[in-house]
Amino acid sequence: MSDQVVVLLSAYSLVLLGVAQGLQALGRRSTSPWASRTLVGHLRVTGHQPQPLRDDDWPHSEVPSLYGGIAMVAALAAGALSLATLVLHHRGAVAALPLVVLGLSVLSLLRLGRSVRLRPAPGRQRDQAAGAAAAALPLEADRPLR
Amino acid sequence: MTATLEVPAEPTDPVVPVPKRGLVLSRAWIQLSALVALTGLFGLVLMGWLTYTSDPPIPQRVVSTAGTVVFTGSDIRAGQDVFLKNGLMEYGSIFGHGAYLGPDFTADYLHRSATEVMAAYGGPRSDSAARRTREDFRTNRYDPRTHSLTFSAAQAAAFPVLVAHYTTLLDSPDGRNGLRPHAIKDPVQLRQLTSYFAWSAWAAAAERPGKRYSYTNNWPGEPLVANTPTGDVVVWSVLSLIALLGGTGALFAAFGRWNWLGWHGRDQRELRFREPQAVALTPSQRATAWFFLVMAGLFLAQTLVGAAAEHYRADLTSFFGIPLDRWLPYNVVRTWHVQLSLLWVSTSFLAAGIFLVPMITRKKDPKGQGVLAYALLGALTVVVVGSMLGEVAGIRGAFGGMWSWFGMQGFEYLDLGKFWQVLLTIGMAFWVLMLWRGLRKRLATESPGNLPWLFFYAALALPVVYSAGLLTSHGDTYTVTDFWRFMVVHLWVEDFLELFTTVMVAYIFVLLGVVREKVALRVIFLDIILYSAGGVIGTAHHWYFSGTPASVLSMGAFFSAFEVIPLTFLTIEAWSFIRLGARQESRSTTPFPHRWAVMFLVAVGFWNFLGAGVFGFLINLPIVSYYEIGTALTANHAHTAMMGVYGMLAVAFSLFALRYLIPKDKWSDRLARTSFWSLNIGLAWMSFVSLLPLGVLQLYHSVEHSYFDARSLSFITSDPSRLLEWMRLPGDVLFIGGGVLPLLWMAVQGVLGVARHREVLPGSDLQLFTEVADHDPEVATASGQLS
Repeated sequence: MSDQVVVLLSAYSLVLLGVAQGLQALGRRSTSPWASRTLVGHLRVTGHQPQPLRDDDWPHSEVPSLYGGIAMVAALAAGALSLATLVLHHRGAVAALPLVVLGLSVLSLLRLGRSVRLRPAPGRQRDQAAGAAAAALPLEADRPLR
Repeated sequence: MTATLEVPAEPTDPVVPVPKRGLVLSRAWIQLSALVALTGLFGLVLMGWLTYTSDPPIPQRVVSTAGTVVFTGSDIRAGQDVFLKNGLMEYGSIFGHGAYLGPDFTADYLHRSATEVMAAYGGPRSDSAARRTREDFRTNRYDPRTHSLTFSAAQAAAFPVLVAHYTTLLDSPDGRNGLRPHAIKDPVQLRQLTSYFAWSAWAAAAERPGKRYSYTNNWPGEPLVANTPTGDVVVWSVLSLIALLGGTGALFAAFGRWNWLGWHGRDQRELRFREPQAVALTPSQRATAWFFLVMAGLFLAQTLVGAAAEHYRADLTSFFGIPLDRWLPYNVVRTWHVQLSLLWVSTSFLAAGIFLVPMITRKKDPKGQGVLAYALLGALTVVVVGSMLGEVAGIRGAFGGMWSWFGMQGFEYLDLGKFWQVLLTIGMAFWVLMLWRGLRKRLATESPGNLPWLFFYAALALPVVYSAGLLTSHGDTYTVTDFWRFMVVHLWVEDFLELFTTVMVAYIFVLLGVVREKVALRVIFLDIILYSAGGVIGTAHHWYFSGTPASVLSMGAFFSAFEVIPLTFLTIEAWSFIRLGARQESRSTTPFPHRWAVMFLVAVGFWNFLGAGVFGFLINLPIVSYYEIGTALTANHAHTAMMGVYGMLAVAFSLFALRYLIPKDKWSDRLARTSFWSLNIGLAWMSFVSLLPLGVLQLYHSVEHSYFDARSLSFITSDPSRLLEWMRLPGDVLFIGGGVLPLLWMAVQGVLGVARHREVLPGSDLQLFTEVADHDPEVATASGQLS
């Protein structure tokens, strides 16, 4: 296996790890459209009252496992690829690359495993609280026109 | 307080005529759809004419400059027959089309013969040898008056060398190359086969009359004969990017401007989903339990032979010590893998159509409908088993002159013999007739632009478009046969199955009360417009290098970019699907029974965007396709699009129906969840850990070295390739063990449980939901009544 291929596979594994981290962050946020802070403006204009959201409401109940599961697969894929690269190419300075990626993959998997055990994530609860606060804001229509 | 209002059943008094319901949508939608579709069809006919008039000619004889006959036109045609009936398109490829284990025989012959010619002129260090080699291959010495093609002496001398090479490859006593030992023994056939490869290599390098590029738009890249990307290949790649960006922007603008586009829930309606076991089933619906069992069995078989095919790429020598190539060589397992992918998905689609009709009409089956459903399943089973056995027997030389009728027809995806192909077409037509019997009275009360008619049209289009594949003939030139082959591989699969999919999903949502009929109709017509704008003419992206002129390449590149645009919106649609289910569940006092069917629809959206959209567009640009056609990137697109979209959809349909067929105490959400996650993770693993990185390495190798080299066994058996092939194993095990087996078990439960399900009786209600007070007077239900 050439050095070039080792670099390419290591860089690709690193991208997979980045995807895993991003998905993990997304999975910790609330997906309720009414609790999401991105819809605060919409909420104020429409006055649509949010329905109470529990963590076991489907499909929101699937969100942590959806994102967390895909993130774990991506991290596992990154680890497996870098380990296999290391097995085939473990001499020379370039071998340090898959070794580093392998270490990062293990760390990432440990972190993901811990966050899955901690469901619901604190971030989700915080988002829900923010959503509830947003719902309490006065409607745009109630404000005096300037 | 709200009172429960049962939606009234359809009027049953035969004396009172049912008034015909008018168009639900504006007539402009139909007119615009028809205009765009007809424009697309006109483009397709135009490209057909160009294909028939501009394909590379097959000379009557090929002679050397000394006047000796090297081979004849009859040899070329007989060679094509040898290629097809031995299933070599499921081993390697020709003009870039086919399987990925063996070489691309066009590129292979071109490179090897050019190397021989250059050696004859003095070797690679000689400038004059390089120049003379280029001249020999690029100069078109075909005389249309005498139908004679002249090879240089060096080209003629290379021919017997190549005959010996292909004899070594295909008559190998050990096998170990993916084919069975002594796959082709007859020296006459081996010579004819080499003639066919020689002709394809000539077409790939000889310049078209009056042009500066070859019949294949200079494909494959081969420095020895100065085959480099043409101006059209580069320019139309750039323009297709512009088409994609411009089209995506326009559609985003349209969605921003008209917020009624896309899927929208029925916000103001409150529903109570009926317990699945409370919904009565007709005999034809009960028969579909067996369809889904057959579907799951075929799915399992497809994945097992797929695993065997994959093993050949990881280890050519044996299957864990078993000499599998003696009984099930690569071309057989690959043929079955490809054929079964269409057959199990089709089985699910046929069953879903039958299952849905009584829900649409909310009436009992017409007399004998259940028996007809069993007859259809029996016929389908005969076609599946007969065609698969015929393919093996055909490859082994059975059937004599009838090989293309009963044996291996040999065109990738249309491998089954013509006889079986005709039977399959008749079976689909029979299925449409069944749907017509069920829908007949309902259709009489509907305007031809409404949902029931669209359901019928979409079903009718399936046998009609599939029948175009019957026009492939082993006696035509490859360019012409490829035109008809892609009527099935592209137009049928990617456009008309897509249309049927949209109509089915829309109708299911309407029947569940999740979306209004008007919203569903808008989505369907928008789908027709978008896919007709890109998908029909876009079929030509498969013909870039198969012998069609540059004008076909330009149309294919530009219009197929539009195909990706609706797919980008599926990322939005996927989330809408979930919310549609969730929103109704939150309002209903009874649980939404189709969580996992909806989750599979979400997966369809995801893979449609990623597999068909992103990975498809990646290889759609002519400049990328020039270097990658027939590599792992093609396999990456094929798997993520075919399984990711149609496979997931077939599973979604089966879960939708099984939810009614399996008794309550036997239904398991856990099994459905396991299957969902295992299928999706397994597919993602296959793509991201194996096919995508391998494809990128192979593409790099193709650009850096040569296409010939990137497709050679030496590359496929290299350490990085084998590593990435072996890395696929865990994902495949998960896919089969965790994904397919639970589905098979659920299908068994469906067959066992259907006897316990109550039959439809006079007065039984086939409605899937009941409505709790609706204040919107314009709402029309699926059955056409105001609610």
